[in-house]
This record gives sequence, structure tokens and C-alpha cells, in this order.
Amino acid sequence: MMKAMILAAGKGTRVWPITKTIPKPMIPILRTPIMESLLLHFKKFGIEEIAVNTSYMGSEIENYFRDGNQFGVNLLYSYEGYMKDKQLISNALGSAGGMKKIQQSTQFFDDTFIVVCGDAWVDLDIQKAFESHKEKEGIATIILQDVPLSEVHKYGVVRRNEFGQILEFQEKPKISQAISTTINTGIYIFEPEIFDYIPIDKAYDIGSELFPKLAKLNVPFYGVDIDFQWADVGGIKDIWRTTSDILTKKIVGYPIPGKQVTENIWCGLNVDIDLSEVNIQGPVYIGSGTIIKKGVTIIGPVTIGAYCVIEQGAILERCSIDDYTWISEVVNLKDKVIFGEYCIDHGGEYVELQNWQVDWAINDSRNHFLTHTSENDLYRASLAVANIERSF
Amino acid sequence: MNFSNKKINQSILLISIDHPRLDASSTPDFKEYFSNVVKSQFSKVVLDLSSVKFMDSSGLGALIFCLKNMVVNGEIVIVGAQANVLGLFTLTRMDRLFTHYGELSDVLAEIA
Repeated sequence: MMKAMILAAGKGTRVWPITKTIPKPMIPILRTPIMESLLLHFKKFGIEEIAVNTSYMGSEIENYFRDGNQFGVNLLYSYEGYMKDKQLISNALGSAGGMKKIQQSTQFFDDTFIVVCGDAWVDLDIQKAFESHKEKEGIATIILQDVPLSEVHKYGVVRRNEFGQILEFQEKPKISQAISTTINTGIYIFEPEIFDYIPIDKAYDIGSELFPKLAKLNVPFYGVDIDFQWADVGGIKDIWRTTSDILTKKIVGYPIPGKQVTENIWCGLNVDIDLSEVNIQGPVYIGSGTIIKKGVTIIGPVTIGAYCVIEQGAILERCSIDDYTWISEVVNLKDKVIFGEYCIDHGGEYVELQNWQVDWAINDSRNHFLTHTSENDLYRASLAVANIERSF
Repeated sequence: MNFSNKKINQSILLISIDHPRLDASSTPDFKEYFSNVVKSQFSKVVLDLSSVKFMDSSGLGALIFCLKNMVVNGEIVIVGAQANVLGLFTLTRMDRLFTHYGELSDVLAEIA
């Protein structure tokens, strides 16, 4: 089977502040990093030799996936950057430049190969994509999808002739200037001849440089439409949207972790919850070891991480909570994602919880100061409000 | 100096915070200003937060302090809070204690 490459060097500025602590391919969707889902998907199609270019926070990726053995694949990393004063300095080469670097040093790509962006979950039939590419006999085939016109500015847009050859490739156009609504999904199949079109030793991008050049030079470069599910998490809002789409079954077939305990509730191991003593509406996922006290209200879609403590009377609506989060009884968390130190709303606006100084309301469940929160005036005031509400 | 007020009627006072932050650095001044202008004269305060870009829990604490020191059944409503300020109110359920209105005209239509 083909070799593959995952593009994993991007800085992920559109996913800030999540990417302050992890690189984009490590973003977990229902607990599984995107790149892990990609590796497992490749493995299903017999693709086991995979190159990964890393740069921004590359060590996070390398330390998680190691040599790929535990995922049943073999991984080759290509780090783009250097070390200075014992600090790694990231120096990304662009997607095409990253491919070229691997080819230059090892001639790794010796036959037809597939390249995917590390920031999207896909369930593409890779065999079918491979066959479509072979049928067209081009040196590059990209997998396309149609999106609403309002979304085109985020993607590469194509215009094709009746044979599917791409005549024009427009990277991230303004809505008013878009040549179509058929867009590049970031999945490409190439022949090694592609390297003739990528310059050596300079940053070079696939979407904004290589593809427009191929179209202009009239190189056999095709786009094929294949129906598949594609969840792009290129932007901060996409993380919640994708999680919610999976839980509400708009996306089907994505593995939900844990064990299904009722029609719409999934739990990890040793979750402490009495379903008859809480007001819970699925879909809800609760991670291992989490304690949900009596009288908690949970309105799904909601995901609660592992080892959290949700105190009696807290209200969670349409939100996602990180591991080891303590939610006090005064909290009403609505339409938010708690990720590390950040509280991000579904529109992408965020605050650092530390700045709000609400450690009496939300904290780390391992913090041994938690028992002192009841001495906090604000906590008591919030509690009084919550209690008045409950008495109605 | 960063605050201003306007009497709406006998019992209602409008206070505007013309300062980007309501946090530990500005709450002592705010509390003092509030008690000086409200005294026991007004039973309702409309607090215009539209210029406040950031507020933390000490700001919240100051509002509770002010409310406690008002006449019995005194009320503070807030107007024009920005998304991240309002988020703090809703997270801690303080939005139930301090009713929020988008525009000053909405408040006046309802309470004045």
C-alpha cells in the first residue's frame, strides 16, 4: 500500500489558546487526538509507513506517538527547526517545503503517496481515492467537497474542466471573488514527480503556491468528489462544533469512549453518579473517576473529563470540561468549553479563568485548598443566590 | 474621577463606570464613590458597565458590598456589559442578583 504523510508543523494560530499548550494535531476530540484518528484510519487501509513533519511544539507529537508501534504503524518525523541555547526554535518550511525536505534527505516517497492535514478528522475511503487518482493518471489528485458560499474564505477553491482537471486554484478567496464552492479538503494523492515542482531549501506552501502553479502550468492535476465525513478543526469554534456533532449523531461512526449506560449517556470507569438523583439530559459523556453529586443538572451535549468533581446543585449546559476540573455548587456553566486555564465560549471568545479570579467557583479537583472555599464571601453570596433559586 | 452619575428620578440613580477595568485596583474607589452618591437616598441603582472591558471577582465582590449597604430592598441593575464581563455574572449566577439589560433605554422602559 501507499506511503503517507501527515502535515503537523502548523502553528495553529486560529485555534489559540488551545494551541498555547498543545499543537493542533494533538487536539482531542472526545478524548482522541485528531492525529491518532488519522493514523488508525491509515492503518485500516494498510498504510503503515507514515512521515510526519513537526515544528511548533513538535516534541508533544513525538512523545505521544513515539515510533508509531503502539498504533500499528511506523513513523518517520521530520523536525523543522533547530536548537539554540538548549531551546528548540521552530522554523516551519510550509506544507510543500516540508514534503521536499523529507524527499531530499531520504527519497522516502518512491511511489504514489497520500498527504493529509493533521487538523481534520476524516472517514474517507482511501482505497477509492487511490483508484480515482490512478484512473485520472495525473501527478496530483486532491479530494474535494462542496461547502456553503459563506465558508469558502477558509479554504482553497477550485475550477475544473469536464475531465476533472483543475484549471484554477484560488487559496482562501473573498466570498465575492470565489470561483466556485468546491473546496480542497487537505487530502492529496501525489506521484513522486510532484517534487519537480517544489523548490529546494525554501518555505513553500501547497495551497497558496504549489497548486496555483500546477494549474497555471497545465500539469495533469485533478480534483475528485468523494462523499465522506470531514470534520475540520482548523478554528477554535470547530472543536466544540465537532464534539457536539458527534454526540448528536450528525457525524456518525466516530468512536465515543467509555461504556454506554443509557441511550444517551456514556461513562468511563468508576464514575460516581446516581442517575436517579441528578437531572441529566443526554447526550453526555463522563470520563473515568469523575464524581457527580446529587442535584446536579446536566443538559447535553456535554462532555466531562476524567477525575472531575461536580458539586451538588451545579448546572452544566452544552459544555465541555477538561480533566481534573472542580465545579462548585454555585456554578452555572452554559455554552462554554473549559480547557486548561481557559474558558472558551462557542463563538470562540475566551477568558483566562485566573484573570477572573474565580478559583472559589472553578478549580483543579486535586487542589487541597478546596475545602476552604466556603470561607470565601463571594462563594457565600453566590450560594445564597443559588439557594433562593432552588427554593422556588 | 472615573465615575459619573445622573439622577433618573427620586429613587433611581444612574452610575457610569468610565474605566476599562473593574478589579482590585479600582474597586476601593468605586465602593467609596458608590456610598457617597447613593447614600440612603436611592433604592435603585442602574450601573452602566459599557466602558468596562474587564472585570474580575473583586469587581463582583464590590457590587455585592454596595448592594448590602443600600437601603432594605435596594436593587442594582447593570446595563451594557460586554460579553466577557457578562460571562462572569452568569458563571457565578450573579446575573440573578444583578439583572442585566442591553441598553439604557431598556432599563428605563421597564423600571423608571
